[in-house]
Amino acid sequence: MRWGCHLGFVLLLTGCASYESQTGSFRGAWNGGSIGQAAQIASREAGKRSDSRDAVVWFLEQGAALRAAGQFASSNHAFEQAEKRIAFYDRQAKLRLSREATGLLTNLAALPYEGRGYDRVMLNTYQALNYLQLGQAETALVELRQAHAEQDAEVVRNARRIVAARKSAGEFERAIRGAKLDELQPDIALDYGAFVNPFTDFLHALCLWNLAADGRENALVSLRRIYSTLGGPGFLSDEIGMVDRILGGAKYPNLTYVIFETGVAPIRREVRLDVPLYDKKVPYVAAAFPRLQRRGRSTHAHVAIGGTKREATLICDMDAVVARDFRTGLPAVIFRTLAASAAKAAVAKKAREEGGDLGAFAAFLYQAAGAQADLRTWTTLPKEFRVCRVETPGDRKLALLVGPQKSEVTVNTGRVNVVCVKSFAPGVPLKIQQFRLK
Amino acid sequence: MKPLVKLITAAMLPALALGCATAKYVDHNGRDSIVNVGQINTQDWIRVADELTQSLLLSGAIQSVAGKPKVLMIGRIKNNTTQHIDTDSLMKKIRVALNKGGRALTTTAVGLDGPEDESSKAVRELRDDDEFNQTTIPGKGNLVSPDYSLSGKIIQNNARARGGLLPTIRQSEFAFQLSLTDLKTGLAVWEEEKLIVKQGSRAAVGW
Repeated sequence: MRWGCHLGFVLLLTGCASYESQTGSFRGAWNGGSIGQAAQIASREAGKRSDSRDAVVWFLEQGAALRAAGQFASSNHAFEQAEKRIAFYDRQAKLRLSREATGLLTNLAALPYEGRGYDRVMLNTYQALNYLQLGQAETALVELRQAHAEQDAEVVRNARRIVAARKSAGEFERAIRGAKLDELQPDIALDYGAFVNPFTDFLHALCLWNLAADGRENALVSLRRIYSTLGGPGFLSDEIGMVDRILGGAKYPNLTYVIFETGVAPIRREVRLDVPLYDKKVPYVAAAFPRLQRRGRSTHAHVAIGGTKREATLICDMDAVVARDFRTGLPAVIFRTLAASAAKAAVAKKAREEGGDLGAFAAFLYQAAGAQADLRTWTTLPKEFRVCRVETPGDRKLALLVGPQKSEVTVNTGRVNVVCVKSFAPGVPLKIQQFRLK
Repeated sequence: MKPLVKLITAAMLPALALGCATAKYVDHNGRDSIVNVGQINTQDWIRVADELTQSLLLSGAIQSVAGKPKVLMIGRIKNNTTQHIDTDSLMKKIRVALNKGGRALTTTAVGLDGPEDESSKAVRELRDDDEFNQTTIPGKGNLVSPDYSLSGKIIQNNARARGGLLPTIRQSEFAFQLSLTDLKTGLAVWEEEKLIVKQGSRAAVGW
């Protein structure tokens, strides 16, 4: 009966509801623009799961929802909780025997969510935006410096993942080809390369030349980097020229930057496949893999002043950022899923052989519950970040257009202002927040 | 080895290769300090600041008159590299050396982007504030205008070369250019350029 005890223990470790089903009502509220309700659900779930393996992802959802609801201090508290938890995982050994064994005997969803590279960057970016909204410029700059450091760290992690992917893909090429697992790879229309998030760099540049006491020249470094990553858009070339003139002593013009956050980032769906292992005892294993699914379409955004309309420039396609991360991480996911499925198949076989009908039933339960892909992802991230810069008109009135939706805003007094516009589903009013930068 | 066993073993192997985390102090200018090809490291800042300061002092461009040090303002230091850097890593070292040598003092009350330290201005705003003893507030005409400004640029050039099966060699060149301008005449009375060239093979990455 030893196998029985082992199976029972492992079943306890195995994940219950998938993240996709856990977040159903939350995503419904969020996508429908019921921000208050979404913030409530996220706060409740994050509280309930604050010590669980899903704590980080729920704190991230909570932080984003509270930010959209205008509760900036509470939002930052949630992001800090996520950050502390991520730091806790980072302090632990890179490879943990218990963690690997859990992954091998259950599934990857049973492991703690430690925050993906782009999560960490966006976490600091949203915290910075919250601090700017709260008028705490120095703290915002600290967050942006952290985001910058996370971007650099992610570039190194990406390189490691690519090398590891090449190794494991080569080793299990037959299994991967046999089950057409490479079809799980998402298409990437825009590839920012090793670059993680151009929007974060744009915001950092904006804050550097407007707020920083020193290091203002670094704004140009960031802007030049985004300019070359995005293929040299005219907006950024103008921005570089203008910032260079200002840093050289030219007078500040009255400017308003409008940041549009549109749509929703991709989510992960599960795909179950039979994968040939070319082993006599376990020729095939049934395994569950994640597949990235894009949501909605790209929406153009404009700022209108009087009769003139100016289009916002796409600064960051979050679909591309998430897809890039998914793509580099997928070979390792495939490899570990195959190993876990094979281990479970071997244990189940033993249980069937030794435990008769009861063993067969337990083995079935174990394999069914264990075959679960890790679908956890920060669902409240936007699909795109677009930015438009206009000279603030005399009456300070701007019309903001996202697809067919339109809203008006009167910009605060101040020389440089930022207006953040968040769009949800068509027909749901735009959420507008603003702060003075200078 | 059977494929199944091989697969499971391969999945567990990295977890068995455990090591211990360590932390230690190192000499900031010693051989143990980390050297990165694409970055300016602490030892680079120290070396360049030393060389530029020596050049400036030896040039005789700044001469104190009757033991009275000249006043320097920090102009624009352009960052034409691909990385965020704090130019104070360079400028502060030069300022400290000039200050200690008694040749020049740096004003923090004047700067291209406004004063480096707003306090000189803030304390003057207390004039006519009854809460403060007015005799302790600096009178008008006490701030000293600078004689010179120190400005410059940091430039980065990258190159790489591949020799057959050998690993790719990467090279980064950082040029530190400084100019000292006499603010009375607008003439650059001292100019210098120092280079740091670093070479290394492509970073080895793996599990």
